[in-house]
Amino acid sequence: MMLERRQQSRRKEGFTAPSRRIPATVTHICGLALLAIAPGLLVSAIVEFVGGGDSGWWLVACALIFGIVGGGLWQGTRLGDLALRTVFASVAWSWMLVSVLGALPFILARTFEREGISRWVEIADAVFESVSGYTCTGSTVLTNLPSLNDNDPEVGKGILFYRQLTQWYGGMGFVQLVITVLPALGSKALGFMGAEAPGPTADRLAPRAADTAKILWKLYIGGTLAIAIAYTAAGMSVYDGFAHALTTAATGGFSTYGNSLGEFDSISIEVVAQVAMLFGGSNWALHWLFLTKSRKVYAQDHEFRAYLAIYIVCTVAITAILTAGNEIEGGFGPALRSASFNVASMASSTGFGNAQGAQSAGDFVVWSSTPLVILLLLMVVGGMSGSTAGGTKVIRSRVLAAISHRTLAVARQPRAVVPVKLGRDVVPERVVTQVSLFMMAYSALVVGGFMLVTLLGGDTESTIAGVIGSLGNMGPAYGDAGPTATFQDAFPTPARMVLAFLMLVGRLELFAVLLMFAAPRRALRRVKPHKHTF
Amino acid sequence: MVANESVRRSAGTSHVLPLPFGVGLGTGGVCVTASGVIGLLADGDEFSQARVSELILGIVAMLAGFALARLQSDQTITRAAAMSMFVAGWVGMNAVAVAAFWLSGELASPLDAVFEAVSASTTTGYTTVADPEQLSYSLRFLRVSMPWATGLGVLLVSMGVLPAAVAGAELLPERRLRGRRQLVTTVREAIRNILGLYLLLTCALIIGYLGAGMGVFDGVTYALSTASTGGMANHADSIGHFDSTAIEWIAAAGMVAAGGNLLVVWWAIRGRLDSVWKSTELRLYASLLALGFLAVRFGGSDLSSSDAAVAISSMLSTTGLRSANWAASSEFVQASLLVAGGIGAMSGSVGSGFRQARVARIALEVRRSLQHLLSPNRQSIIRVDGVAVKEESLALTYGYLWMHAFTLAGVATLLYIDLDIIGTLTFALGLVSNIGVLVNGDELQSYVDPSGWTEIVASFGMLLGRLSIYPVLLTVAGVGRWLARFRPHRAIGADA
Amino acid sequence: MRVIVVGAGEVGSYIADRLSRQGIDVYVIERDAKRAAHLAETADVEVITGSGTHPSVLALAGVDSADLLVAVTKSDEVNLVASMLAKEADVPRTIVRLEADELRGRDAAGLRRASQADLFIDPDEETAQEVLSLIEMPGASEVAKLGNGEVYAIGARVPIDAPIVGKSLIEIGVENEPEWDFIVSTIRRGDETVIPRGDYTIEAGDLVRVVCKRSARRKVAKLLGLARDVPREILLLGGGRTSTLVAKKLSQTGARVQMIERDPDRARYLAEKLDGVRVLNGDITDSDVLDEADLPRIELVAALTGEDDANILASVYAKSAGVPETIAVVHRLNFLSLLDQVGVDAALSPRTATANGVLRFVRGDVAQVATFLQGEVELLEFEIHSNAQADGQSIAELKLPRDVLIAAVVRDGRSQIARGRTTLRKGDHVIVIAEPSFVDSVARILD
Repeated sequence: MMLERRQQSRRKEGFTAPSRRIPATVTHICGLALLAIAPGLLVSAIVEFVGGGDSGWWLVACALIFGIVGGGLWQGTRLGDLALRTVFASVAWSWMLVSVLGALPFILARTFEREGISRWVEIADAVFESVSGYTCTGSTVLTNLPSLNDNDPEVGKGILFYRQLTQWYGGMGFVQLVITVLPALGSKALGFMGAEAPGPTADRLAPRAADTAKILWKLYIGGTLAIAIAYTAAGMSVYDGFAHALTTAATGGFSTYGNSLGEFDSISIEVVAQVAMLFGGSNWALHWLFLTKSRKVYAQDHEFRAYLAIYIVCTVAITAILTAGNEIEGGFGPALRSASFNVASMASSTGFGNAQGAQSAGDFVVWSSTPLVILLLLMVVGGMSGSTAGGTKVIRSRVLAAISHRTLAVARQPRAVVPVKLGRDVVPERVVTQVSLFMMAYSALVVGGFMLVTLLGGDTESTIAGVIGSLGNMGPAYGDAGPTATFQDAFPTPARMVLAFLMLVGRLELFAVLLMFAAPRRALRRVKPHKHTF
Repeated sequence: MVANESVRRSAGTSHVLPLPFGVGLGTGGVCVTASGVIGLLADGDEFSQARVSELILGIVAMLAGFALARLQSDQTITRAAAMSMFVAGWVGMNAVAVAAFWLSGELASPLDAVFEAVSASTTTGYTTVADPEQLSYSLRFLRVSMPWATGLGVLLVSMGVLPAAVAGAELLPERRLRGRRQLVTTVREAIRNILGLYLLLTCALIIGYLGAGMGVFDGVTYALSTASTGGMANHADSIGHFDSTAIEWIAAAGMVAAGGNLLVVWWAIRGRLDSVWKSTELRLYASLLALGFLAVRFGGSDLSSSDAAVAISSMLSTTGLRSANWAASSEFVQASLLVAGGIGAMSGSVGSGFRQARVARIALEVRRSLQHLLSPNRQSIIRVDGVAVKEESLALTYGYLWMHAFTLAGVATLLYIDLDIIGTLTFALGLVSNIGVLVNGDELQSYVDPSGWTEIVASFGMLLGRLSIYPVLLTVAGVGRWLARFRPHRAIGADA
Repeated sequence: MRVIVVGAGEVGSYIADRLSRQGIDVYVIERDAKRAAHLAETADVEVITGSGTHPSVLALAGVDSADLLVAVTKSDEVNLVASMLAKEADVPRTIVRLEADELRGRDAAGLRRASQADLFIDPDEETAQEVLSLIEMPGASEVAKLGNGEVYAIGARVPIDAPIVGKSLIEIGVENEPEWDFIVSTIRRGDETVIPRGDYTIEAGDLVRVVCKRSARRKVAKLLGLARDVPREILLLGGGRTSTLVAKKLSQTGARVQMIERDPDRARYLAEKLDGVRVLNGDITDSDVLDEADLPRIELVAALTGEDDANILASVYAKSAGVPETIAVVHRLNFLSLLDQVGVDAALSPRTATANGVLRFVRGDVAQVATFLQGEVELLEFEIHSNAQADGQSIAELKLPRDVLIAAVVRDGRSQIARGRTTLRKGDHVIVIAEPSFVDSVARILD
């Protein structure tokens, strides 16, 4: 449908000469996205002032810069051409711009200043952190994160709060945010959402796409508040509760502490986090339907059932292996605690850790290889479509399984007609092909990224999980980049830049970013009036 | 009259299985008998009793096998049955080999014997024997003669001489297969040509190895191991043991040839270089060999040129012979070689893995989809070897890709072995691609010390990889369906 | 009695012919002139060319004085409108053929009420039910259910190794004393159908019809030499509506069902719609296609396409490839007698399936009728009313004609096989076997 409509709009454009400048739509959307960040920076500045940090004014300055630049770009342009490639390009460019410029507060506040590194490496670190934040990945290069009883932290609370906020923005996607104030997009809005939304399809919750985006944002804010309250009730301070709720709802995984949630060493907090991560990693449209329509939506949804089944099966398997191999001190209980937490963290692509320090129970890099293989596969699969989680999404794996099954059936009976089905629902062939192509491109990126990062100096163990984790917006990797370590030690700066790029590619589900590079050049050169126009 | 015939013919697919099982049994018998003879000649007195029992076993298996193979069936062979036939043949061959390995008393447990036999007969090359030099000559020969026999079977299937019902049928060069001046014109001639080429490669390797200074036994066994992409070695250091540049180059050349499509080799021998160059798959294979060589040689390693050549050709052809420990060189070298092992050899070769032809198709498809995003109205067709590929056969390729991925993931998950994550992953890859090496920390090895559970999983994984997944799964499904007959089921609710 | 049949298709023609043979005045309305002319030549009925939705045409057919209107065209809408018009003209009863699931469902209840039709029939559904009965009773060539499913009539050509071959009915009765749960109702030998007496000896090759209690159907199957398991691997040929209905029902019972359909789009549609059914796309007369369904494993093949020759050819091929059981739908009945010689175990026709439903209505007071493809006898189910002659009498006292047999009695939902001393009461449902010409006299006695 969408495709036909697009083709029609193309035909209408037939007579007009294609623009050779950057399309106005792109700058318009980018401006709005930048503008949307400014309030978040102001809130962070207030937190910084209250928390007694010394970077408050830098945050205010950044808020002003973002506000002025964003506002200027927004007001100075009007929505123009809304062809498919422009939609993709605007989404990709706005993400690129925001996540790179989002490093500005870190750079100005000298958050990443360390002994013996040049100013350029510092900037690169800041950009990595910002990209990792906005893409909800949660891999960090910040080595001087405070601990709970740190009375004189090196990094101010406001900066850290901004760091948490980046993930919150990225979770639902600021293009979603932008759509809510752009009624002019009309029917094209769904295309924008599709370009940003995780998963093969963008659900409509309301007849108008802009209303759908509004609903999702309301739900998102509500969910975040609920999680914050739950955290506080479980024993966190209000600041910690809010800071972690932001990254939990977004399934990002940044924490204000070096040991992540392990810092609290509290089972109740870990349980709250597990439930909240799984909540964030499932389809938010389902949450909305649950609240408004029917209480049965979770039970009826095939993807949700598969998602939950994956969580349970992996938890049981890893617990069994850890217990049987006596890999964790204390036997079954601690094994279950660490296994379930890390499975939830990986299945929702959050990346929180529950380890209280290197080599402790939850630090999975010291586990035997089978649990690691399982966690690696979880990184590939990721959360549900329509969630804030990353990975290739449960539904795609299910489609792939159905394709495999079909191939097997057709090998036996070449004349068999076997539609790809999820439960009773038939998956249209077009979607089947798209899923296959997506996964092929994904595999190609994994292999390519793996080779490139090892070439740049990553070791195989960290790299394999680092690349898959970055593409899946996961967070911790293996080897030297485990849950209690940072990417600082495991990867050289150029390798980290590659990973940051992969995070962006993964967050926008590959094609938007890949097209960003292919589209403008080709499109500007090649588009000519279509034959059928006349 | 009709009733009588129907009773006779309704016996089910089980009827067609004795024939391939017999062939497998007979082939295994031949291998075991040959090993027994060699053992009698070469091994000392201490082994002679084991050799005699081996001989008896081999001859009995041969006779039984060929007696079974005479059982003809007039039943129509369905595709499912054809696939089960391959599995049956393979099981027959392994039954003999497992018995021989176990009877010899040189392996630690029966499951070790199973693992060793499966590893050999799937041309994989993992071994539970830490120092193969301690093995008797007889067993060392059995470990390379079985993959050689499998290799011949694989060639016959992948060239379309045997029923092409197995996976990879979509890769067969259908239209050109039976044309004039091709490898396959009649079945008899095809078998002669294939056998001829395979023997030619083996003999050339024997001569080469002997010329480069190997002993007679080593020369023959390594040649068999190389030509079949088996990778079983007589030494713990594989061909690195000889420390001879000449041997390494010969092995590299042999592995490249063994991993190449036989049809292309045939053209090359016939001097039809235009056809050779038209082959998309060959171009990919050649480029990957060249790129891989460069990556391994200059990607931050201290490997010599000959070591680099052995490493890349060994991984791409899924052989698994080693001349140097590349696990200790740079991470990039390791990454490149592991990716090469995942891709595997050309279709129509004795090699295994995901195969070059499929990679080529998928690369073309990804390119097409990107083009399609840019200009949705464009109709583009994927051409391989200058011939348009049918969309249905492309769909089969994608389906196979995901099956392969699921198999790899499943095997990696189920293995429970004392290795780090990279070790486990490379082991799983080596099993499914039938390579036979793994990276254990800084060590590159074929030796594994698996638990019983892991041996079962690993054997299944090797079999899945070697038989291209479908036949095994369909046979398992067939057994499941057969069992389902005994399940009670509800009456038909026509009167409801 | 005057009956109007709208639509001279396969079902309409058959009903018209059947009714007219019973001495009923039949008017047929058919839009297609050629078909109308053909029917007028072959059957003793009055054919009017025109549409059943036009009041003028209906008037021409004498709708004012008609007792029954049967609307059986291929179009649901035409049938509904015809029924409405007939009710306007005070026709007491109407029968409407309705195929669309949407119109048969609960949502369309209002529409059906508005049409005022007394009976809705669906030939495909009836055929599907008959196929399912045959599948449930493998080996039988006919299966009919009466008395709310409590009584079965099973017909089969007995093989040489059947336990009842070479025995007289008395011997069979003695062997199965004291239980009295079945009765041999008719035997067809050659071209002759008889209601046998006690001294009649059964020979191999006879088409024996047995009426039995529901609980005894397995035992009867064994006696008739049909003792086989209910098939679980089933291949349906053709993806029409009948086939779809059968497949749906079968796959719910856990059987493995495969279906072959020629049209690729239809095949795709079926594959998407039917859960747990493997659909193959190909021509059923192509042996490669049939082989692909793994014939040696198949336990029953049902050929349900609209083409007789394809159905028969495919059944014969399947039989030769080792399928123990074949069922074929045939539309032309000319070669019926040849079918079981070439390997078709059971044949059925959509028209008889439908006709059973219609005939019941024509008779009015008969609860159910089963007719068979071979032989002229019918199975009838009567309810005994309070003022009937039979009320309170034993069967022996009834003085029925020689060619009429009371086979079973259903009382309060429980069936029993009739004996001479069985006393009939009001409210009983009586299963009677008779030739059509005796139906009236039987009705007089029992009513």
